[in-house]
Amino acid sequence: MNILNTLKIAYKAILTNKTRSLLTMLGVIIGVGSVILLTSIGTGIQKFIEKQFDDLGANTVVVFPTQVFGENGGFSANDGAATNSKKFDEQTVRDIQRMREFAKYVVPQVENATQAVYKGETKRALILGTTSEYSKVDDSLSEKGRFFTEEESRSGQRVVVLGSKIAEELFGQVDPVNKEFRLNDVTFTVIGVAESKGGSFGGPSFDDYVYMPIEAYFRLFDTRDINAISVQVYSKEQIAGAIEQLDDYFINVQKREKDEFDVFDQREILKTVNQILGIVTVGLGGIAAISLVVGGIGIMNIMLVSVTERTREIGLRKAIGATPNQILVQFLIESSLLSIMGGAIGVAIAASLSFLIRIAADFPSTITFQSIMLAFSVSVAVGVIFGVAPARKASKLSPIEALRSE
Amino acid sequence: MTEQPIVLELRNVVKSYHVGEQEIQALRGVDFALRKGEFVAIMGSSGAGKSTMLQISSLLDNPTSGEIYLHGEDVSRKSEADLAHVRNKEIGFVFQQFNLLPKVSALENVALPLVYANKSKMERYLAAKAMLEKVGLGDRLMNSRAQLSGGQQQRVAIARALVNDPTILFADEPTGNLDSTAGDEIMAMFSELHDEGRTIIMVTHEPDIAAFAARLIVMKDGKIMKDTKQKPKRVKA
Repeated sequence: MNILNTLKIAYKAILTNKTRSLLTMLGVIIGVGSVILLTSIGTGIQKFIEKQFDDLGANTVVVFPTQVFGENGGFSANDGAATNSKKFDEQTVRDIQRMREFAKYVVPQVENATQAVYKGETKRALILGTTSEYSKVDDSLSEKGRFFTEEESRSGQRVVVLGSKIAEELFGQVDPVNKEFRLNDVTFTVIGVAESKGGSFGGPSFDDYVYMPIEAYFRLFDTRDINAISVQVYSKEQIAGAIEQLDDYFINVQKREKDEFDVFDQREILKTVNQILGIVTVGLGGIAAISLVVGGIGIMNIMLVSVTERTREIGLRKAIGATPNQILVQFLIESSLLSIMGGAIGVAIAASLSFLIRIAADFPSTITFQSIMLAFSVSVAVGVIFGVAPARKASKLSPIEALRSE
Repeated sequence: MTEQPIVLELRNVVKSYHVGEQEIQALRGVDFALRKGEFVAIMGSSGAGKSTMLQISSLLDNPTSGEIYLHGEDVSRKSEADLAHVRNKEIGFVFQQFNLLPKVSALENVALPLVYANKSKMERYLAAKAMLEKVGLGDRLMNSRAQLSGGQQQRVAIARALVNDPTILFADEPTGNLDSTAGDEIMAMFSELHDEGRTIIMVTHEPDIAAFAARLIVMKDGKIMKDTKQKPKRVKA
């Protein structure tokens, strides 16, 4: 007797009890459905965050004159070391600019905090000194007015672009463009206001900064040290090579120790975030998988009832020539088929829900091929594993006793 | 008349089983030989061992001791799976309860042994259809169990028993669940099969039914008490 025949027998047995079969499948439907839906939402969140990172400039490598990130990608504990270490200077910027094969823009960044005064009101302001190319790395500048030019940058004109939050704190409802205010008793002119980027994770956000030409910054704070240099490369593929070359430069040319500089790209943070999200997704899927086990127990229960109900049928089949193995396979296929059908319905429901979320909430929930394969193989496994006990019971029935039963 | 070959032989067959602490000896040394074309009726009061005799002879169960020879081959120690194959090929069953599968057609019921004989769909269909026509149910091929009378169900069961052309047809109280008219119809069919040369063993407790057989075995306390030839009774179908 071939498999196809057994499949047909099992299919008919399932169809003859439609309502019961559907109720039996319900556990597997819910289990598979929730596993797939939750992983699709998890994958969606990952994609969403990846896109946010891309918007923040994924082709950018940032170098620091101290170790910022620990070996494992987390933030390093020795943050304070930044003040003691050898800072970068303009020579560093020029050296990196010479790495033309990947260095599209090389943008030095210096940071400090000071008092900003406008019409007698004093506010604490974070100052970021940089070059005009900063606007090419970050294209959200400026919403109103303009960013400073290369000429203004080089000559150190006292002009600033305000982050949206500091602009509101300092000027309120007044349009700050072309207004003058004082930083450390030096008068600056506002030439633009940046677009709001929203908060970062609790720390200062880009909206808090006052952006000014780096030459003006050097004069204002009487220093020529540079805290960080952003290097924008031409394409994502160049990032790995750029990191390698920068590492080589700091170790062999600047003779820095391993903990006296750090080169990293935004993707390192993304990697960590993705790891966390991956764990969360697997966790959610795991919880949902428990319902699959419950579904399996439901199948086992009904199959046991079915074996009892069909004792006579089993006895007859054995009497006229079915071997114990054939009976075993028949019931195993029946339970697997129930489980697979449940799984298929679950996939269909999860796929439509995921699609609905995508459309209605504009959220990139994504059904992955792996999650479908996983759910499918798990439902086959559930059907087989939880089908074994009832199928063995059926195969072991004595034909004489089975035929005698009522 | 030349004697037909022996198809089934039981030699000193003992069958005992336990009910709780107690050991029950259902068969206490049975010797029996069945020749091709015989129609044997086994009678006896309940507990005499006639059902056990039928189960052991039809290879549904292994004996505790003794041998069973089918076509001269000892089959008494075969595995359950091997016995299933032998039953499929050599033995047909007709039960008191008919035992048709519910919700499937008469045709599919009759074809069932051929499924386990690995016959193709077309072979199964043609053989089952021919058998149903032979038992007079050519117009009831697609009827399910619920759409058939008791007598019709038993005729479907006979068609099923014969579809794989078995060596021996076993019948366990074949008229036990039928009224006398339907019972007579079934017995007429057995007579006809006997005339065609089929080998039949039938268990019954009704002398009227046993009268249709050509050989009568009476059992008592797990042994054969009487084994006689008789002139088979006939009714018009």
